[in-house]
Amino acid sequence: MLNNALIGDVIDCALSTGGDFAEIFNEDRRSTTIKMMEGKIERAVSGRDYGVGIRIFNDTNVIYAYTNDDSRDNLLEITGDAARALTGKSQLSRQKLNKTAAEDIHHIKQPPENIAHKNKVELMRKAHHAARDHDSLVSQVVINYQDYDQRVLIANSEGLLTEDERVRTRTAINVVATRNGEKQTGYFAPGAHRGFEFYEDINIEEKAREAARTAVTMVRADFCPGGSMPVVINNGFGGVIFHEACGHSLEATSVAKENSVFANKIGEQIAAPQITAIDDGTIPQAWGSQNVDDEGIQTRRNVLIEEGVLKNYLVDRLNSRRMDSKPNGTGRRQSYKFSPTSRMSNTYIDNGSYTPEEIIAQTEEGLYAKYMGGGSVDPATGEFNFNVREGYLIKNGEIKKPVRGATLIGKGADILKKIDMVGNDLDFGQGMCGSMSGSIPTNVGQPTLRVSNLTVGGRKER
Amino acid sequence: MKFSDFQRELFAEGRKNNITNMEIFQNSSRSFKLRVFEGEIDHYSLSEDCGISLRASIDDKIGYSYSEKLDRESITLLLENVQQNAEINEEDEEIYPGGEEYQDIDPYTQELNNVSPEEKIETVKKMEKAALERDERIKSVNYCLYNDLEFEEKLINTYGLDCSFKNNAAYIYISAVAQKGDQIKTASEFAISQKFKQLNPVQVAKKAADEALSMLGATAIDSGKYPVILRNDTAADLLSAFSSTFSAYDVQKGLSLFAGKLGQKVAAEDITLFDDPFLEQGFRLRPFDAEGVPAYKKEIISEGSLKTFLHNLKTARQEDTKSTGNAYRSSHKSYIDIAPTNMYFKPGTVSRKEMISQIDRGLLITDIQGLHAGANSVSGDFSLSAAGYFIDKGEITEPVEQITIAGNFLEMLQKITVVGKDLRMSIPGSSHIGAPSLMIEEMNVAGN
Repeated sequence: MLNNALIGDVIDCALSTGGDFAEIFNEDRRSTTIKMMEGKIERAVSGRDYGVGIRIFNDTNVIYAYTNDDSRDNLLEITGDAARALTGKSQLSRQKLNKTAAEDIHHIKQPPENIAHKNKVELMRKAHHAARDHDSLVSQVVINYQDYDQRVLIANSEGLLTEDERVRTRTAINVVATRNGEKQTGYFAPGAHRGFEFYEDINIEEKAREAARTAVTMVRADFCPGGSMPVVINNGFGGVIFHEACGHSLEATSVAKENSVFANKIGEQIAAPQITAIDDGTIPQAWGSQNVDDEGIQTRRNVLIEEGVLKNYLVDRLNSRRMDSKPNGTGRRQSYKFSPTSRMSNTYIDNGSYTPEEIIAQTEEGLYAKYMGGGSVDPATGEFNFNVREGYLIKNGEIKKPVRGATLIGKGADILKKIDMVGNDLDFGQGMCGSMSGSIPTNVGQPTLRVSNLTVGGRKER
Repeated sequence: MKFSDFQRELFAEGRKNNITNMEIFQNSSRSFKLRVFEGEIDHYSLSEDCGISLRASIDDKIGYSYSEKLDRESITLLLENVQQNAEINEEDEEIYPGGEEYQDIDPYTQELNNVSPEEKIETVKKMEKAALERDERIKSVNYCLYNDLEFEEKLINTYGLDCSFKNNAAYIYISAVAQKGDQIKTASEFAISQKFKQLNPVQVAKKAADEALSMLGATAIDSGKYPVILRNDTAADLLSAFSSTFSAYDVQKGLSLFAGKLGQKVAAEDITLFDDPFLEQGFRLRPFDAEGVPAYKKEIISEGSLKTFLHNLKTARQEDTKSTGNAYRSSHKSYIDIAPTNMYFKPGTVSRKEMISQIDRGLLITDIQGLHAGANSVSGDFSLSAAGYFIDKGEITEPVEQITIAGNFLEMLQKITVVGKDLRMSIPGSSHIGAPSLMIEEMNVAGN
């Protein structure tokens, strides 16, 4: 990592043309990805990503530069070139660097670097066989294994100097079942801010069987009827709807430019009173956690919505200048190649008081979305469209037959008001979230909850 | 560490660990990006990317590893990882010792390095202004940018191969928005060159603005079968969507519409499709491919007959043939893949104006959308939303929008009646693809 003298000189150089803030992000990352297709290792790549990103602000204008070559001459040259975008004179001297260490709350026990690749493959093979052997309708199994250890150093002209280490592990299981020429998929991708010890606590074979069970259940299922109906969404990855359709609208990136339906609504009732929503980057060992954000600010638990009232946005340094609001530990980026911006970490709807059984029992008729799949959201309108990976019809307060091909259609701002029952079984699901500052690990989460009324897209007449 | 020292130490250290067959691939690039919005600099970034990949053959298995930092720690890490990955790898691959002869090309120009940031900023601002001043119906410019890029690739192996190649270019792009009443039309234009002076911002801005303006008042036409001219840029976009179908890998995996068609007539007589790593106006020039195999110009389709697929060493060995020098890696982090270099249809002799004059009632298509979802590379079927102009009695009359054109790529190739002389290369991606305007005898158009 860069030494303090060089960091200081680079920051001075960055400010030399009138910039009013400068930052250095130095990253050293070791990663391994292995892909197993039908039980055969198709690719295995390991390597080391290393680079330095330099950011200069002049009011709300941003200049960004990055390089892999961290030699003094090169860093000063590229920083000088970047600073040439401004034509003023140095107006401000930087603060002396003051090293702060964020407490490590993740305690990695088995760094993935110390685990032989053979052992990683063994884990994948177990998952492969568990899924393959589950049912004769299983036609394809793909396992993607990934781990990395990202070390970062962040320093800026305000005197900040801090470091963090993020170790993450994940195994994605993708199962296809085929019947009469039709295909359905099942998917699980558990991950955590942990080392290889993660696999001592989760049973990968169980997850693989569950993915296979979904695929097989769905390929045998009848089509879902379309229409407007109550929808009960299961805990965990069901939180993806909140993430996509509401969470992104609470990021300063969209709020500052007033592209968000939630802009200028702090203190207003934007959701049903049962809803409390939180973005918490401090959950120990959670997939979306880190000790400090990628701007060097300690992560925290930000209550976004409390009992239906909008309390807070996710704010990064740049947008804090536009919004008259302090940055709150949510500036993130994929790597040194990206300028950071406000992003989610572990974002969830908090527990309510009902048991999942009560919610089902009190639903006369409707759809039970056990597992959600992918979807899309129009950021301008908040309109979303999500696939239900595994769905069932609810009749007279009981889960009945499985249905496939269901989609949930609605608007982010509307669905928040229509959630009328919130369960007490909060859980999380892991995802990769793509946006302006790249692809980053995020957790989505929620307890089982019921939307009083939602448009369900389906192929079958009711 | 200097690259040459790093490379020497890496090979020496590898040999100590009984790894004898090694290859280093290094790619490095520098890029400058500048975007202007309403006269102000909206985006300004500089980047330098450099990384190396080590491939090694151990007990007949290939391992991959990469690093972006050249130090001793990386040497240890690269060798450890390459061994571990070779051990678990189950795909067959080989390291190419080296070719007998490589074409001597050196397109890199110093001139671009002498252009100051101020000149670049001025160019982009001028371009935005020229578009806005073109007509009062030009309401805004949603993208207006300058980008320059230089890159270098090196390939060195323990058999003694040591080759490298360097190139650079600069690029301007604008997207202009025209509005009349409720109707909004956008059009974009670009220029790419190795000579900064050849980038004409005013001309590029005017072309984009004029095209957007000319689309105002566009309506859909009646559904039916029409003769169609695909304008050169649109023809290139369509070819681009089907470019993977010429990869032997896709053919072998059953993912290409050309599977089993080698040697057969797949297109009209006038159609010849080149892959040319030495094309002067091409950006994807190269004397050697990502495995070190000498690159060469070839006809993929020759006067309508499918002559060859594009191979790397692995796909070539599967079919007992030779690599066509089309191995491709997008970076040091990626695997060996296959891609065309500069791929284009051979231009004919007819001008676009003459082509238009040959049509009684038909369409000139200038824009297609939805290529990602709307083009199936296995069946060749495509259904794309399109826009352009109506042709009546040999003349362009009205702008046309909200139509879809549907067809099959293979059938379309066979129904090409006229090939224009206006070859244009599109915006380069992993390959640089170009086409002249193409007249198609008949295409299904869905409108009103």
